Amino acid sequence: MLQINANMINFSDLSFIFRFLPIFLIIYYAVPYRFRSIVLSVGSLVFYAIGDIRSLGIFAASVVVNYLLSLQCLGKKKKFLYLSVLLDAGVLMAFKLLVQFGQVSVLPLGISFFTFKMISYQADCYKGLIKKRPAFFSALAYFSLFPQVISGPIMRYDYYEKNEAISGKKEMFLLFRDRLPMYLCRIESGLFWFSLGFGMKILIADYMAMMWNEIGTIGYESISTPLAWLGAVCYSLNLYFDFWGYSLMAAGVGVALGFPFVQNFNHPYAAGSVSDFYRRWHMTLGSWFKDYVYIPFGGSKKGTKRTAFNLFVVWLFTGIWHGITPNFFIWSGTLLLLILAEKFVLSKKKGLMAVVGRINVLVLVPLTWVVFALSSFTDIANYFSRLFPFFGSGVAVNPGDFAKFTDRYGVFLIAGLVLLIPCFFEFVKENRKSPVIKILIFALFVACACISSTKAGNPFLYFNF
Amino acid sequence: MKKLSKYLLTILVMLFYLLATADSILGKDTQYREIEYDPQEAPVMSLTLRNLFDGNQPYLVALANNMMGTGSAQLSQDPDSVEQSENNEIADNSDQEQPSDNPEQPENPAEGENPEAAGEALADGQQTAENQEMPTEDTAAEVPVEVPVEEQIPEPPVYQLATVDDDYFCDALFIGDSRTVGLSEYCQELMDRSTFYAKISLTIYDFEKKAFLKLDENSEKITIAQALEQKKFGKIYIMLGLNELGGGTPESFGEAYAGVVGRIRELQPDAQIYIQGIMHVTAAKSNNDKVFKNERINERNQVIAQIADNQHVFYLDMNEATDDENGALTQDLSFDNIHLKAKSYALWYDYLKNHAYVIAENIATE
Repeated sequence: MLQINANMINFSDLSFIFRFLPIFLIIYYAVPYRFRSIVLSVGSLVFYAIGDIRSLGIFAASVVVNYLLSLQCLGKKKKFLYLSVLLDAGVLMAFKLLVQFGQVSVLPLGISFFTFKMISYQADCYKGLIKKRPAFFSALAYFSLFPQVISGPIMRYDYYEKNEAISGKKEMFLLFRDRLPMYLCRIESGLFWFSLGFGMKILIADYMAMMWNEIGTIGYESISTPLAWLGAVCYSLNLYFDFWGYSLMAAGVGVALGFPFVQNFNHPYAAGSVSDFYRRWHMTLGSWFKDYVYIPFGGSKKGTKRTAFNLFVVWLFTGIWHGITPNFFIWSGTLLLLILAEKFVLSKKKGLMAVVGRINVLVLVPLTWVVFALSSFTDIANYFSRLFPFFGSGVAVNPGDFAKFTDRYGVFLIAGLVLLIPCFFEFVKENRKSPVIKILIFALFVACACISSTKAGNPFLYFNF
Repeated sequence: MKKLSKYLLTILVMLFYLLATADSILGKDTQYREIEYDPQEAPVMSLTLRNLFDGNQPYLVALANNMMGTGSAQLSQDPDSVEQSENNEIADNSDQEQPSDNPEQPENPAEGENPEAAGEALADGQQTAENQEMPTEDTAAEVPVEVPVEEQIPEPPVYQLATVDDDYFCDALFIGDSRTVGLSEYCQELMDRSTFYAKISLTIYDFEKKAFLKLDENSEKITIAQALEQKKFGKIYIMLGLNELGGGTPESFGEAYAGVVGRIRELQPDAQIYIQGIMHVTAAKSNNDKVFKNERINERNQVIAQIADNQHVFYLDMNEATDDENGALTQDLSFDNIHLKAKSYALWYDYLKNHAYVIAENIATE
């Protein structure tokens, strides 16, 4: 039996870019538009099976159960909405607990993301945002959409409906040779976004990941204070570019398939406050929590105390969604406190807010990422005692370690820091039709493909959520 | 033209795909034959890409150059011998220990030039092996080694294991891969006293081939062999072999190792050479990795242990200082399952301090 390489689901792996993707695109655009939701479903299920065959059953069962329940939600039956939400959230929670207590080694692929898609689908059916009963294959394609199943972006069903290659809106009466330019146009756009994401992943995120791993190898009790701070920067850059890179690659593939572009990140480190940061970071998750938790609970319209409570609920769930070890609660709790402080205290003084807000984003947020990164209290304690060395000088510290790391990783750190400034990315984005930019992007693509060919692949961090 | 620009990226990528695939298929049995390739892991074009990454010309370009009779481009390049670019250095250094690509090439000039030295080392090793089969009370060091006829040295000194102080290492050299690099960064006593010729992903084959040492600011990079021509040491410790686990056999590895030891003996006849058994990896790594397994490490350690003659060449296995009850690196001492944490290097150092081979009569005076 042919053993298919599981790495094929990793967007930066050559077997995805040069095997799965071209074959899929050819089939997808060769068939008439009426069959594309089936092709997409089948392709996505194959993709899922390659990545995690053992969980395919759970996924398929989830899809079927949710589809059946959604029929009741369309009929405005509130009890079924509650039932389906409880079921979906319950299954997600159950798996998280099973992994935590060692009964299962890893979460089913994409469960945190497809569960949220399913909950939003039920809610949208109930609220009437989805008006007609979607065909089963449309719902299946939506839930299993391979460019999004692993780690998002978390899109609503209306996004699926906007795909013109599937609805056939523009191509119903055209011959193939007239449709071809349309397809090429989409692929051209898709390649642009994909290459940007590919570059961020291979040239920045992967090196930051190596650096963070080396810091761990030394042992958090043995790093110098400058290196500890550099490490916080390194991990923050790693997480950002890994996730932003993945999101751009996912968006690029989506665009190539005829979906609209999805924005998941909007220069979060340019934000003026932590609240603003989380409106720019993992935007699809943030807006999901806003639409399906915060606003149904009353949002900010029911007075200060209720607003604070609603924020607490949102951040509690955000913490749980990311992980159930205590560090995730410390992480989300800290962010909640910062946001409450900004919202109710600092916002009164504009001048102070401008300065403190920026410090919060550029200094405190990276520190919260360190908590996010380390699940053991010993590690957190060791790391923070190196960041703030008031209680001791660490064990077996090499004073030359900062110089060694900046020497080796300086280029990548600088590239990452520079890209935090919005104007560079925005410039490239605005000029994406220019031939010069296209040639540079192509060069970037080739460079990344060469580097990727030498690795076994550095799986995306959010794979485990 | 405008149309071309509209789909420029798509066209370029498609051309790249086709050319790279063609290049790989055509060059598979010639220029790329040394590159390990598994069709289930990656598309065939990865051969061209990996070759490009190493800084070499693609097969088709080399072919074109040859046909046009321009330049000294060679058709089949040995990927091993090409100068590596900056990027490669960073990737190389940043990667964790990787199995070396060309283990089958014991292109060790030492073997060609000094068959006697290599033969001697092996012969000594074999004789020691014979001696060790006889039951001894203490360590093998106490058994006098039979000296080959050519040597004609009167009454060789007898070495014994002893504990030494920090200054023993003042004239010591440490040769090794990233684990030795770690020792050079986190063992203060050695940092203050010894010299290190160590580099991440170093292999035994790099001894004569890899120019990475700069003895001072302005000089060029030289190989370890060249450096040993310039500076003399009293003890030379070697720990290599982890990166070679992915290829070759224990025997071919042992041969290459013996060749290097022979070469060092030539360059530094008065130095004591300590062959250090390869450090284990954790059980977590050993049980889940196809290459980095403690069984393999032990196999190879057994082979290189034979090279010791207890006269000039000694064998030490520091694993007893860091192993758990099952013969694997203790999990608590490592974060990445391969390297010691900074604070754990002290265990290795202590082991070396307590296991130095010193001439028997000198022990009384220390």
